[in-house]
Amino acid sequence: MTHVAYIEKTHAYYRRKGFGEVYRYAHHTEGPFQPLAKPLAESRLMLISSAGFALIPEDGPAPQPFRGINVGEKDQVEVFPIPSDTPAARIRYVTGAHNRAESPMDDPDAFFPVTRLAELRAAGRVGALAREFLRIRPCYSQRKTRELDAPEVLRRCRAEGVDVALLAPI
Amino acid sequence: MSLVARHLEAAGIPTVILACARDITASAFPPRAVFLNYPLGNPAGRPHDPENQHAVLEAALSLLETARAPGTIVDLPHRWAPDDGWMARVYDDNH
Repeated sequence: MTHVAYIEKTHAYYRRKGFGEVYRYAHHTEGPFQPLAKPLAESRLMLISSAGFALIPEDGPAPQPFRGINVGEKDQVEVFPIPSDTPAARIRYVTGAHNRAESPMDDPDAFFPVTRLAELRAAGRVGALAREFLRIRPCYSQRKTRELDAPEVLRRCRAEGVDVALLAPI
Repeated sequence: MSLVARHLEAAGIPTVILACARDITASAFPPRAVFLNYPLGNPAGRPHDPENQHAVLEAALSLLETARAPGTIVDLPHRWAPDDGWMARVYDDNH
């Protein structure tokens, strides 16, 4: 097996659970392409994650779990800024994980690599990091992603002068 | 997330996705992706393994530099475990 057949497996799983309508994954056979405009060592990088994590306050109560996937109950922008200099120790995964027995989710750099990107920045591999990285809430509505969340991500990228984006879906 | 990448790319910002679900990612035809065959939740590398995490990020950055066409997916060589038992357990109701 070269990779897990997630589309087939999720469809089978939800059929077994009694859901009549099967989620339709995005499907395209062509798409946009933008070559690098300048070397990475001169570029500002944005990190975008869909992981369900929260920041542990410097002092205060621990972060509360929040709902994982937006199944269509909300039609509003769900893009959340995270300062890119946030220490990994303050990032805690708080939603139910896929397959947590396989994935402990206890190392933020495995899903939101703030430490590794800071090292790449310090080494000069990338020129700069966005001041604020972004977390978006996973959503079953492709229309909402296209019309609300993606434009907000773009707006924030432009406001920060971002040159390239690294996306880490959960 | 591929839809966000496509939106940014169409607006002139090059993107690369760190993907653990190869079929979902490929279906959406994002501009560029590196595929890491690890359980969902670890797109940026193995937990507590900075060397592996660096290798994954470096592969993604390199792809930004080298890709010449949209829909480019690079399969990374890293394995999660010596055997692939975890793959069979995905969406296993007893798991």
